[in-house]
Amino acid sequence: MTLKRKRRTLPSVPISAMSDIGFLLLIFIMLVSLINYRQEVKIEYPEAQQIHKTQAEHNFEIWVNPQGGVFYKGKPLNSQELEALLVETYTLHPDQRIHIIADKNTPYVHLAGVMEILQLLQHRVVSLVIKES
Amino acid sequence: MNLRPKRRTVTDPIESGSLSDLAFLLIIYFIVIAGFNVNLGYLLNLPSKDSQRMVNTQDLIRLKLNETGDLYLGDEVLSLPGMETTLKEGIGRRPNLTVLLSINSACPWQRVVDVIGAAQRTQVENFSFKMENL
Repeated sequence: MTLKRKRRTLPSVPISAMSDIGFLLLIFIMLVSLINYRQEVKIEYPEAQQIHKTQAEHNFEIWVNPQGGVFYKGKPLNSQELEALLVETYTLHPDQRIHIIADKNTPYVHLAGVMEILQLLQHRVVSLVIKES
Repeated sequence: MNLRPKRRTVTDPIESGSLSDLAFLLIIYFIVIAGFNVNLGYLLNLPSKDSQRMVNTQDLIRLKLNETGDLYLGDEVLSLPGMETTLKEGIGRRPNLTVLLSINSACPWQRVVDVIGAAQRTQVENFSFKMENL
């Protein structure tokens, strides 16, 4: 008769696959953040308090640098090109929200030009992008 | 005689235990980075190009921003808190108060944003701005 005691095996959760899951998640999130990546123009954001989120589902960002250069996705545009692009994107996504992201030192005349185009194209709601101070 | 095959102990030459920690830290980093692209600011309603509105002259306050960003009410220089007080008093007296801001073409954008922010804080219902001499 064997009197040897049976060795109890402690219950354990296998965690060896955790690093694989981690890396898969990492790749997924890296790809998502790459899709979300936006080409920025070097500007100093204007600052204000009590601002709110103006982001919508579809966004169209117009960047204006201190010299008055207008950019879309890092590409410089003249007023005709901007107008054509706005019309094109409006037909694709009528609910598109326009964001104006301008440098704090940009003279107002350049922004007035952009707003005039938006008014001409009957864009009603415009977001002025500001950094919270 | 022991015929049981000996269990091989596998040794990990590279410590991989901390790799999952590293992966999760990187995940957190990328999640934070992905959340950075949220625009904050003010939402404005642009009027149509040829819309006109009749305003009682008594309900109208005309403000002016000059090329250096100084704010004027008539000939008087106003500070931003001063503007807020003036507008709040005005709204108290005339609920249909309309504020018209005329901006010099060279005025820096930051000053325009400051004035728009101050006007929003006073909750004035009719606020419009245009470039000077337009």
